[in-house]
Amino acid sequence: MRSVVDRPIFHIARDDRGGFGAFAPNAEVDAVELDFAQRSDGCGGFAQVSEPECVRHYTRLSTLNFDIDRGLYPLGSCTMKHNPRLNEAVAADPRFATPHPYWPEPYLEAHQAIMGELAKDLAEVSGFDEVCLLPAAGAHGELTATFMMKAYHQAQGNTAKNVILIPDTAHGTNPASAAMTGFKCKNISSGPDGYLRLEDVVPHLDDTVAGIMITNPNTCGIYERDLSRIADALHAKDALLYMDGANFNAVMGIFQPGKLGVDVMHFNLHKTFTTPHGGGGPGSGPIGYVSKLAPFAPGSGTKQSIGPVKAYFGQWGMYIRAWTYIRSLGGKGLREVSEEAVLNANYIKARLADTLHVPFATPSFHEFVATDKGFPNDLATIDLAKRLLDHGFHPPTMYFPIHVKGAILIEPTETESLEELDRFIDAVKAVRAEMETSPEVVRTAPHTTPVRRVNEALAARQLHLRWSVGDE
Amino acid sequence: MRYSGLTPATREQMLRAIGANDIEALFASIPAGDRMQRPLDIAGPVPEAQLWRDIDAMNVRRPRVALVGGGLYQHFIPAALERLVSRSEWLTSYTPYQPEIAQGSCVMYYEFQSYAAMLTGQEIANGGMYDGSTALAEAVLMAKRLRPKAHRLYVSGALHPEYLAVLRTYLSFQDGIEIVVLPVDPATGRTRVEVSEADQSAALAVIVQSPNFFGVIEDCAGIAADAFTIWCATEAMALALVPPVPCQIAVGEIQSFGIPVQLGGPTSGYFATKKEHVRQLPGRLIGRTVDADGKEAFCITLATREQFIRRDRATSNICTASGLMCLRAVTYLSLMGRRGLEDVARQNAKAARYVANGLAELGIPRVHSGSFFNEFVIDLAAHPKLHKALAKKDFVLGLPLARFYPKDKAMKHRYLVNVTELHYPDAQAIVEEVRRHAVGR
Repeated sequence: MRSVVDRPIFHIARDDRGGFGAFAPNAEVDAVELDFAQRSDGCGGFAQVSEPECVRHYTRLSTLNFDIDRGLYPLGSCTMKHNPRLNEAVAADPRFATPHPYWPEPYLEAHQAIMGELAKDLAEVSGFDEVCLLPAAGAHGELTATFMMKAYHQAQGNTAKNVILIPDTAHGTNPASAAMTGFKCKNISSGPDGYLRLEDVVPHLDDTVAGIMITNPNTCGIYERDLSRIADALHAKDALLYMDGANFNAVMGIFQPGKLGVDVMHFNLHKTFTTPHGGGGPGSGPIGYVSKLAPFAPGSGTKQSIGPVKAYFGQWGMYIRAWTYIRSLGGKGLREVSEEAVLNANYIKARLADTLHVPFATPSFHEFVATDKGFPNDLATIDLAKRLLDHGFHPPTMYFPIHVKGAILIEPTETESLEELDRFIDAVKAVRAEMETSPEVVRTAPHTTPVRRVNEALAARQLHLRWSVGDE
Repeated sequence: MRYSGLTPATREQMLRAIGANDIEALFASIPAGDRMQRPLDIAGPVPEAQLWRDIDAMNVRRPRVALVGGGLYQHFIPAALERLVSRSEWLTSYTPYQPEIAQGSCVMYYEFQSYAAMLTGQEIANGGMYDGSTALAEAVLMAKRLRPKAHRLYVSGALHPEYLAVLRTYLSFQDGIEIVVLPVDPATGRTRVEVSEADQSAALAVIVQSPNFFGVIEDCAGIAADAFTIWCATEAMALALVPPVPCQIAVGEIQSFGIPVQLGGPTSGYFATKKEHVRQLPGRLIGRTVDADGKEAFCITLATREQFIRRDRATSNICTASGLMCLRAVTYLSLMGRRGLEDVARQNAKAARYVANGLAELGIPRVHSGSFFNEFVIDLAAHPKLHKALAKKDFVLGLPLARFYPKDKAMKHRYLVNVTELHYPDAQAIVEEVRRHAVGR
């Protein structure tokens, strides 16, 4: 059922309403004169709404979003799992929400202890010698790590090492982070079975290679079984192995990258450790690393430290949520998370084997990639995605990883019930059947969402990025 | 496992459907030597009720009065804000890649971009950065894309020291950018720009923070008209009253708008600039368009700048940024309205002046003569025991600046004092308490 889309709030604001009341007047304080020039443009022109209007506006807007609490959100590589409300309650507790990082130490003892425990637990689950919590998101963790890799090579005098190898399965953030560090990126192809073989890497391993960035399990949901052999080959050339930990939800208690030759890795607390995605953040991207990289870490206290990558303590509000989650589950519970994340993905894969083309026979972990090969009537991945909206599901990740043509990347996570998985499977099968029987309905989907298919090309062609006074 | 959707029976049923004997079979593609051979050494599970008891046992203490800012500020948060932002639809949705079922987030980001542009006096703004410190570093990287041949960067000596440190980290991986720190006038507390206009024009950028780290509002005298100016602000509340600094890029921290201090993160940064620079912007942008029926709709736009399309040639690696914190800022600004915001900002400025005047009467004058918003520096050399004596009573009289400038002897007894609207009703009592300790022994 389509609902009314609220226009941006500026269209209902009026200037003749009172503003939100601050504190009751304090006459003695108000008598003080301000001695600086004040702006006279009405803060650029925004006005007032009443509280009821404001509450209704953001409530109605919110209902236009699909969210995990409404249903399965199988975005591959995004790990959209349940966000425990206990985490939210703990984080909102004034004892944790309001402290200032510049308060004197005695007021921050509990917070420091919690950060210490979280770092220790992340080190245990990943097998690394040390953990730095500071980075603000996964990509920021990558950036911090590539900074450290560069600093490491500079300290060895290996200034010729300026190339990072990027497999075709990599997230876009990997090459972007490497480039921001001043590395050149060299793309390499993974093998025919969906994983990177040692022989795919070796031909590229010359003296210019500073390292490689591998996601494991990779973005096809496949375990990189040559990982430790690739690590040995890299280390023989004093190159470094970075592991993108975006998919770590699949392997907690299963394998420890820090023990297999991985030199540095980032965690996504907003994927693996249930901090909410919040419509695009905030994230939190701690990194784990082996001791040879430790001097280069932010806050290492050595002259070789790259320095801070963010002000203050990082994403404390996310640490406290992840800490709560880890306490709630314990080591055994974390392992069960990974087991059931993998079980759920494989169940969908098995049940859809006759419905979607799966390009790799290699076993899958927490997600699997299918494609639009064999869709009738010129229909493609995007049409499946948009029609799934009408069936009440968020679509899977589309057209990623980029080396798989028409990719459909499905990750259900462990927090789904069998009944919800079955409903999703039935919906995919129903759309696939509609592609044969009523292709136009699929091609023009969605039909039941708050807005119909959005003209993204027009948005880029006629840039309109903000409201201004007088806008219609 | 508390958050599992499965039962032992459904696990078995699913394994049968897959054709696997047990869960272990699903992990068979991992080489035996790669497998972890022991359970994770992590305590738990701890039941929810028990966890609260454990937290209570930590005995978390807080100061009774803390006049501490320095880039993060304690402000009042309206009740309606907390109720709105904790809705599932905001909390548990993803980045709006599917605009048909994410119009809520898309409109929210559009409002954020609009508010950021209006408050900074700029033409456009993006959908938020991680925070102010990284926004500033990204601003310099953007300046470098626009001015690839320029290499000298002038940075105000009154820039937040942590922001400068982050900037140095980012720039140490860029070839040949030279950072020149501009001196601060010891009398006024303003930045002294004693660089020729030609040198400024040729420079990569001139970075000025206003209000600056010492709380002083910069007059920007001496900044050349054609310099590539980056204006940074850490106290967004000041934007409501203090005129915007003319600049090419305006970046800063928006924590003051409805975001709890929470030890400095998560917060969000704004990034505003001129329209002509739009293709060099880092981060996410939402644009207005129409749907298949011609109805107004919003979606991510100019994604060709972003990492998931452009990869190593992207303008930034940013992916997940600070959505919920942008929502907090947007909701705060909408609840306050422009006049409410101005009222609160005025209570900040007046309360800060009242306390500053009161301290001056006690023989603790401001160090700087330059005007300020809600933060100022005092020197306690004549009262060497005062800060500690108040601290014993859980009263923190400002942030010791020696922490940031350990080698600067002048900073040894200096404190950065922040007064916000939360102190406005009690401003007299605050001054009185200091008086009792300073002179009333």
